Amino acid sequence: MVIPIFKTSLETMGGLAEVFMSSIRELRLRRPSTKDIYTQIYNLGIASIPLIAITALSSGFVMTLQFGLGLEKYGGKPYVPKVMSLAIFLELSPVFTALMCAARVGAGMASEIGSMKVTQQIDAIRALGTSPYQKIYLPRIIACLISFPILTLITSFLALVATAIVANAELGLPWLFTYQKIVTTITPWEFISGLVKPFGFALCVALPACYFGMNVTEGTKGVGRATTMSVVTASILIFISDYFMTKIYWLIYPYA
Amino acid sequence: MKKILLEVKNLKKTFGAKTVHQDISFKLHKGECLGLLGGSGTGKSVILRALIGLEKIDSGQIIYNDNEIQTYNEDQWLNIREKISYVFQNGALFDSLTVRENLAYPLREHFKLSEAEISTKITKLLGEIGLENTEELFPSELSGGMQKRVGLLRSIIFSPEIILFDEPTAGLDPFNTLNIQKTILKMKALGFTSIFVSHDMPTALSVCDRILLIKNGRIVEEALPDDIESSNSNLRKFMDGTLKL
Repeated sequence: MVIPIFKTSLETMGGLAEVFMSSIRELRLRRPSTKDIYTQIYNLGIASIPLIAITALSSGFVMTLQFGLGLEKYGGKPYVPKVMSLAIFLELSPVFTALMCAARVGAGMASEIGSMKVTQQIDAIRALGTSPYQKIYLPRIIACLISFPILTLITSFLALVATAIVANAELGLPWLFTYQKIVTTITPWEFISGLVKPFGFALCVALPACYFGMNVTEGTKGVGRATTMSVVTASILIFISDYFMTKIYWLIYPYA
Repeated sequence: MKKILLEVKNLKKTFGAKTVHQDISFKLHKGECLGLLGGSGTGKSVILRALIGLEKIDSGQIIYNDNEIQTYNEDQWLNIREKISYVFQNGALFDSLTVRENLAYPLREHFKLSEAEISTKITKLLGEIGLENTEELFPSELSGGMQKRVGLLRSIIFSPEIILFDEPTAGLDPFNTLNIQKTILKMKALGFTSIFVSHDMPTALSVCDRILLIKNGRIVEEALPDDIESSNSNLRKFMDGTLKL
């Protein structure tokens, strides 16, 4: 039981590394077209904004309420904007955005690429003397790398708006007080940390989607399996890489 | 004697424990249409896929224009695929692109043509194969026969040196089969070299200059179409349905 899981995990990691290295190699040989990248930025990034907005607002509302009511008992209500802004910029926003994108973007990419594989469209791209990396994989990977930080910024902004609303409406904290706490808490380092993580998470979502999509076998059943595996792998990678990226961040900037 | 454009020597291919090809050897001459016939599952498509590097072979040689190409890497295969084109059995059209975009794809990739030139060429070629006014349709809006014809057109639109037909008439009605037949004959008259893989004996007899029969991973017979009809060969028996492969 343990050995096959270990073997599959190793194979997957090897496959993801291969896709990553091939992507870099192909990027040097054949640049994907700007039009293809724009199209994918729209499909993967802009089209994700409504989902991201709902996630940001609802998590911002709930978390602020929980923190506010919890800290109120100890007289810690004024700290809510500070706690929330740190939590949002450093963790909630990058991770929630990545997880929602793993579900929406990763699943979509894996099933689209898998369907193209099953219907021989990937073979057709190769047979026509062109590279699937240039035409299919790279535009999607690059689009994720561009979109994720922007989506994370949008999530952060909306979650902070939600925080301000609940802080005012439910906890009675003035708007200006919340605003001042937020802008004085978030240093450039926190801001950068919140923007660096999405680049890593973009790879955590895009690489499994491409890898499982391009290796689909067994027809439509295989497409379903590839989609599931892509989302599961992306989610696991997001959590694991989040720990290491946070660790690196703390090593560089230990709040001395 | 016409120039040998492509030669396959002792090709061997296995999938896991299953040996599909034990020893396949043949030559393709310039301007010739070579038929590869055999039962279902005899690996005819595998040979075609190997010829453009979509399938790696276990051993043997593939020689194209005096160069051994079976060991080529993907970058080198991309150059080969500009000269050897593959017509997929199901057309393999890009389902998110219209007919026009499908046909424009290889033109944009391999030629420096303006969008107006591409558009004019596509409209003209679609008209020639009886698919006028289909430019803005998506593959899902076309019939199987129309998809095959568009797929065929997409594979030949950049004028390759060799065309590999993978069962181009499979599943088509007699009218569409005849259309495909006519297209292949027209291309043959223009000097295209091709390999034709099919179960469709009447079409094979009408378009091929030479026919090879594959059985148990080997080529067991070679004949000219004119000789098959009058002989008692395996190909004749295959045509009559009395030979199990």
